Amino acid sequence: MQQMYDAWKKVADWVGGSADKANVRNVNGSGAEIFTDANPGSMKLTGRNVEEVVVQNALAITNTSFIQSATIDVSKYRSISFAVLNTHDQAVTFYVQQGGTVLTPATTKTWDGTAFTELSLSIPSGASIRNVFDASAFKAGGVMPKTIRVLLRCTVAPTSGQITVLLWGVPN
Amino acid sequence: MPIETQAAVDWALQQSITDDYGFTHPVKDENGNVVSYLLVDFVRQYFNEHEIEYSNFSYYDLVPYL
Repeated sequence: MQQMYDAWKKVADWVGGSADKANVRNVNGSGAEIFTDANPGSMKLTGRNVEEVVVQNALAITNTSFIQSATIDVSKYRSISFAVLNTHDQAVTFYVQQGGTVLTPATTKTWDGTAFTELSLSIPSGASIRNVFDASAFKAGGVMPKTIRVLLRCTVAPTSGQITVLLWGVPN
Repeated sequence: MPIETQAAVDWALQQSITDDYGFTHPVKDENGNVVSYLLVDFVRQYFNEHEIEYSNFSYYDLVPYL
């Protein structure tokens, strides 16, 4: 604790300003202070950074097999949403699996307070509908798996259309 | 991919859709940008109309034909 105080005191004395110590001020190119009582300064908000991962890029499904995406590392994100466009003539079941090498991708269930349940959604067919949903349902204790895969399956083989899946993540 | 894929892609690139709001969206716009899901939709339509057998495919499978 004493060491921390001593370190802080050094910085405080250095910033505090005297003839032989630095006095940190924000100035413009002419040397005039930028922030004064009359102009206390303003914050420029740069906006929230959102990254987009294309999980499936217009996949035309022709059968009832399970289709697994590549592994997605979501550890860098503090929140995740999905946007899905399904133009097939059939609904598509959307699963999120915990995926990796220690625990390879497989049926993933989370505790809902009463039982372990598999997490899945049915994405309806809709040529012009973007189905957007957050991934909060796929968390346990507010924590997402480190890596995931998206699993898709049609219980009835589609004869037309495609499915596009985007993941939107807000970095930590 | 079927041997008819090039013909399917060439046809699909000429197509467009009109959305629920009346706006037209071409598969390939004047800047050369291709809307991936529209391309796949129309290529599949071509396959169906010409009774061409095919298996699962995605936009990435069509890129070599662009």
